[in-house]
Amino acid sequence: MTAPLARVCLVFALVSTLLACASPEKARNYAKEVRKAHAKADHAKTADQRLAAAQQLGVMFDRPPQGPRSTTSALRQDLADRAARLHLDLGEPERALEWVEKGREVDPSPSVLQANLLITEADSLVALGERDRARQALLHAVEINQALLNVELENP
Amino acid sequence: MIDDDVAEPAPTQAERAELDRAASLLASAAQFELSPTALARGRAELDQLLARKQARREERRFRFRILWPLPAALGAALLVGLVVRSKAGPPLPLAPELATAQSHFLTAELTGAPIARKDLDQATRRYRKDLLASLEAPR
Repeated sequence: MTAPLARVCLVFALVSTLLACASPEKARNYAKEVRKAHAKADHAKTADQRLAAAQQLGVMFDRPPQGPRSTTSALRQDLADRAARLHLDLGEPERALEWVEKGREVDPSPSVLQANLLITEADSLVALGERDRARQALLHAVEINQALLNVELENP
Repeated sequence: MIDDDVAEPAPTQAERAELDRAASLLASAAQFELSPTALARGRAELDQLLARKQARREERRFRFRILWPLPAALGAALLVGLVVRSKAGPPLPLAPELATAQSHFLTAELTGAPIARKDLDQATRRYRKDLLASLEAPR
């Protein structure tokens, strides 16, 4: 019974190793595409351009990430936050909140990008007239921020 | 034709001694022969010993057949662990600048002071640049 299990483990290990070896070039291409999506958002002036930029950021968010998980998770949270910001600027706070939710689901652990998403959430809730919930989101962001600053102080 | 009546010459002293020795060996031969019961017991013990040895060999084979996947699975698990670790990647670039900008922004937001949104955007942009650079750096 253990022999088939061992075979499965060996095959899985080999496939994982092959995938890991193939990733550096893909990671560079992924970074290039993410950079391009942000550049599009940087240059967006009109509403149409902003909408197109938000869509491009969304496409990159949905694309399977390439590279170390910690970095790609942070990049995806940043993509979601920026897409949310663009929708907020376009007067679409509900869409912004959807993107905030998506971004927070990528990695719920406390981080600077999680705090950024909470700030965007608060701004979206203010736009929807939900000031109490907005304040809650800001206080959560403060909590995360203070914890991160404490870590920075303890390990400079 | 041989004549039986012809008397053979009497054995010599040395021949007589040889014959005596052979006769005494023949007389004691029975003492060295095993009884059928002892023979059967000996055979049974021998069979038992052989069977035990065979059983031990079978047991070793069985243990090997059962246990070899364990080191293989352990090795595979270690390899997967290493791969997962490498996929998890290095720690994220530190973001003290972004954390500080956030702190200023949040303080302003909650106290009603002028909000430094631009500083937060710039700090976020620089952190993004660090993240992308770490992804593009050769590993």
